[in-house]
Amino acid sequence: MSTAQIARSPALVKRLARHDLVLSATMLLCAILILLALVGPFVTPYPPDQTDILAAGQGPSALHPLGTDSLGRDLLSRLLAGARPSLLFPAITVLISSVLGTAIAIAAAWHGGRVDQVTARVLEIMFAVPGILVAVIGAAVLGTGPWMPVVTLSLVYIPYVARVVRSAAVRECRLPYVEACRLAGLSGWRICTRHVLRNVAPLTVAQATLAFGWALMDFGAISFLGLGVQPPQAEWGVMVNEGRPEMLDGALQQSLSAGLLIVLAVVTFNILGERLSARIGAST
Amino acid sequence: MKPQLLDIRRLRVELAPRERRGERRTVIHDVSLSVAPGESVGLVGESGSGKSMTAKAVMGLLPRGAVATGEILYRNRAVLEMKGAELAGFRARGVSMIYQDPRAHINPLRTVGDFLVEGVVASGAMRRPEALEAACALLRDVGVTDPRRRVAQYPHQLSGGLLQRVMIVMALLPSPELILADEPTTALDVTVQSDVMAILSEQIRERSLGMLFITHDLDLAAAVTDSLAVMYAGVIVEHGPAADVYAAPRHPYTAALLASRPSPTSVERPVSIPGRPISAFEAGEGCVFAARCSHATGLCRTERPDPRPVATGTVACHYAEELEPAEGVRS
Repeated sequence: MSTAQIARSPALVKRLARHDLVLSATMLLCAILILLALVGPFVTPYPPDQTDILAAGQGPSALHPLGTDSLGRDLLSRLLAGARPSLLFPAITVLISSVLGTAIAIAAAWHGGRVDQVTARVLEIMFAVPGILVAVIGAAVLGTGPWMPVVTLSLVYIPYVARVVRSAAVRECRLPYVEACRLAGLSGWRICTRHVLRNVAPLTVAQATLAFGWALMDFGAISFLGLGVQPPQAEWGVMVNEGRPEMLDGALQQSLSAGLLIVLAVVTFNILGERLSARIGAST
Repeated sequence: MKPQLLDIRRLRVELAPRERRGERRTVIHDVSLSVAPGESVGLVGESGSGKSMTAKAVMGLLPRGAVATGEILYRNRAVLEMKGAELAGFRARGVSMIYQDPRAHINPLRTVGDFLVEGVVASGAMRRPEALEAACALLRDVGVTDPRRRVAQYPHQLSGGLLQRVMIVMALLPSPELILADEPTTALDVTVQSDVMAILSEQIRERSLGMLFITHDLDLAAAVTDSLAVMYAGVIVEHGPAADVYAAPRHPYTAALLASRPSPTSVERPVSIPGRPISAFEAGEGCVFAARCSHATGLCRTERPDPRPVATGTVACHYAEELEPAEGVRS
């Protein structure tokens, strides 16, 4: 039995990717992005913070494949080093909000009635609040730095996961097998964790993937505004901001390359999330 | 009086109103019923007569906002007052339920083995390996070949008949004393029905379990149960030894029900009961069957008859003594 379970996961990936070129491509891109976040900081050709005034503001060359910024730092090195904070902080955010959101969703669906109604309304109100605004207010209260938006955006993204999971969980809780579980003497906690959670988990993952794309963009924006990751640390949002004065001198490479990476990551995770949701919708 | 396993006394169930300030809807007017250890009791009635709601009340699973009055005693413990751990323990060890549609009542994403052992493992009665062992032995008892392979499979890989046997095993595994079977064979093919029913009644007899067998099939109920309660619009209209009720029905409804079955030996149209079946909350002051009864008088329309002892059973009819027992079926 255990070998069958182990064998299932790669089989699942294969099944998902079959006959779907877009999904295969986005999964490949995701793998590359995750790889970048893991090993990027270790394979930089130059130390990312090393300035070299003599080489400042250069275009692409053999020594600096993407050129340098106004302080002479190697852009490729900074992009590679920036991959980790750019992807890690949104990932932590989405992880926290997915766990909290799913827990809230299932608890609401299980209790039903007024608890469920109130939770649903509160989630809708939370959904209407723009994330960037909360992060800016959060920065005013908590100060700047990468962990501030993790805290505020974790809250902001709860409804992104919870709303969708809640409606699925409500449907799940009404299925006859849940009643059968209660009759078998199982506790509500056990039914929720072993049955309902398990059956809505694919949806949670799809929704979290979507939310990750949005969170990545919000993080880029917050760092761009100077409220998130602080320079001189390399991060894509920070780099877009640092490239702004250079753009006026006609040197587009810093803002453009970092911006394109953000766009690529956002689009990739959005498509992946959408496809996963569609697949789950089609199979249930 | 012999000690009862399950004793339902004057149960009345009202559902929450559909709208705010709406009226509560009564689904069960007055049900008294008992199951002795080792006894099989059939609860027969049309759809909407309240038979499934009675089962739900016994399991303490009434819908939100429902109000139940009267008493349900399981070994002299009041089920309606049980809460939390006591209720979970009663459900886990005292009573088991077998459902009409096994496919809907098993989580499709978990294996048959997970489904079978979860209850007993969670209640701490058995550890997983021994529970699986016991489940396999029981599966063999109910005629499932190769149980080791079956427990590793998912519900969609099993046929309906096989799945209902799995359901029976799940019900028997915690060694309960009472089985509630809610139309256990209705969703199955005719050929499989008799198989599954035979297995179920065999298991019940061997273990001398009490069973409350809920069905709309009077013939089936008469064949497998010791006593029979006929329910109409939330009221038990006739209750007695299965053979007697079947052979000589005394309540006009039971008689009409028996007369309306298609006969295997004739091609004539069965005699239908005039009017339509009413829901319990539509019943007025009088006898619930008055509107459709050919013997009904003014008294029947104004006053609801209490069940009264007639011959070997009880009949809720003002004219129970006067009406001749109808032509039933002698088994």
